[in-house]
Amino acid sequence: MIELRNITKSYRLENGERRYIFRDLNFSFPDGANIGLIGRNGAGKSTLLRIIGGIDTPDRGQVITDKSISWPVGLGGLHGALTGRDIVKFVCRIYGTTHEEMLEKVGYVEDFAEIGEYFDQPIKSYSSGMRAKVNFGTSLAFDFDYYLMDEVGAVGDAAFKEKSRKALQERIAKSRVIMVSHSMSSIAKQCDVVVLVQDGKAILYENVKEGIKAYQAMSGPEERLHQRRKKKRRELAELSVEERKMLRQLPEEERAQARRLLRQQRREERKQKNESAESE
Amino acid sequence: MRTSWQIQQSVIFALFIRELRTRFGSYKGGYIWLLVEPIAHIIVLTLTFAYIRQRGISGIDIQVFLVTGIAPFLLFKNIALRIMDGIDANRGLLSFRQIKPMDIFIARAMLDALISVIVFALLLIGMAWWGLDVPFRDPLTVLVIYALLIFMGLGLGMILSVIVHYIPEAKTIIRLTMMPLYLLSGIIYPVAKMPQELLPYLLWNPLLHALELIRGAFFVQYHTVAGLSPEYVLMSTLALLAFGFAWFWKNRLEMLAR
Repeated sequence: MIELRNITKSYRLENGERRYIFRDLNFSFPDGANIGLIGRNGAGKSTLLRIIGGIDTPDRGQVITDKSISWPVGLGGLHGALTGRDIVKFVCRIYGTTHEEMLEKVGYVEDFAEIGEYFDQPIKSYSSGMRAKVNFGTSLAFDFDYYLMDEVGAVGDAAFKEKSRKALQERIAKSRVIMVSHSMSSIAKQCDVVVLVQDGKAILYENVKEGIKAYQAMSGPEERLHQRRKKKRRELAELSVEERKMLRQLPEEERAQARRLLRQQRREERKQKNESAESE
Repeated sequence: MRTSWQIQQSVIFALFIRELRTRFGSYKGGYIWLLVEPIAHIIVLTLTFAYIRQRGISGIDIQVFLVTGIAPFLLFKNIALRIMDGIDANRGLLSFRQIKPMDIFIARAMLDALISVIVFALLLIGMAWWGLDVPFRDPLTVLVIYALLIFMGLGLGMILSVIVHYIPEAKTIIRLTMMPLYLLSGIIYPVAKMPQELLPYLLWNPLLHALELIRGAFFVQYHTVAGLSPEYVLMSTLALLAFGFAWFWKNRLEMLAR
């Protein structure tokens, strides 16, 4: 059970005014479900995650739970001057493990993160992906009922994503995740229910698809622009250097269409290739 | 299930180790530097001032006189400045719910207090071994004042941490203010030799009281000024602690928000 009771949270803006993210929010998270928190930038998803994790204190109200909850695993956090190994030991000390358990957990994270010698380098020299790997690995080394994840799905290469997914899957027999993500595909893949955070309210959607639809329907211009840029990047990624050069020489308004045509061409080429491979 | 006291103990221990690791952890020779750096610092200061002030105080070795002032002052200064930076330096670690800002402050104060006590002891032993006269007339007073200086640094540090959160530029100024405080606390000169008409104002400074009391507890021949009061040191410490804690508590949500 994780229940929010009369949560009020505000921040002071630069001009001295207060901006309220939540006012007397009451919400009860469904038991036994993987939960996705979705909403616009600034709607308060990450704030809510931090309040659940107990590292952000609401102005008023409380979180009532009998579950063990991880720290929010995300891109931030950790300490720049410490090494990955130090961090794992640090967390072990906080949780009061024995020396043997500590060694075992350090070994686990070292294996899991696969960052080689960087494990003994200061975290400030890490890429954001490496940071997230260590942070995520450390959280997996401990048993929690709920893992809080803030945009973690977005990091690492395909192989690491697959590995993380598997590691989580193994946990899912006894653990659940509460995740914040802007990637609707990873929400759809990993969550059983979604909670749309909007205008200081949290709305539960038992059906993930419905929730995502509701979120997309309210997408503002910012999100739409983001989506369009993403699509453009995806299309460009499939082109060769020569083709990109050619595109740049075209006038502005013809570029998008040319891009689409080239992409279509690519797709057909691939299809043919696949078919010929299959026929062999 | 662990009690909250057990959790806090393990958190402070973890933070203490983390401070140890990052202070000089990446240097060759590691932890030795924790002691070598302050010892070298104090020796250089002592030799410099001893050279400038050829004329000593009757019956007191000038080096011993200087060390008994500089070491406690540095203890106070280091703790206050370390705590001032404490939140920012550990922001990343605050994503673990068990860690509260107060734990960071306590861990930092503990480390600097420990270093300072060891360094002070080593220097006193070293000077005695060197053949200087190191009288230790009243160890209890020294101990009590030393402890009060730790808490005074803790209180001031918390106040400073709030100030620099709202005015980051103040950091440089605060560091610079430590220099005049040096001179105003009677570290280089016996307070009795300072201009007597200024004395009533100088006595507002609780650090001056503390350092004079320590000096008085070391040397029999030392003339402390009239009006020294251990109670004043105690009351200032409590006032700084109470104000520092209350002010920090009131602003903590703002300071911890990211």
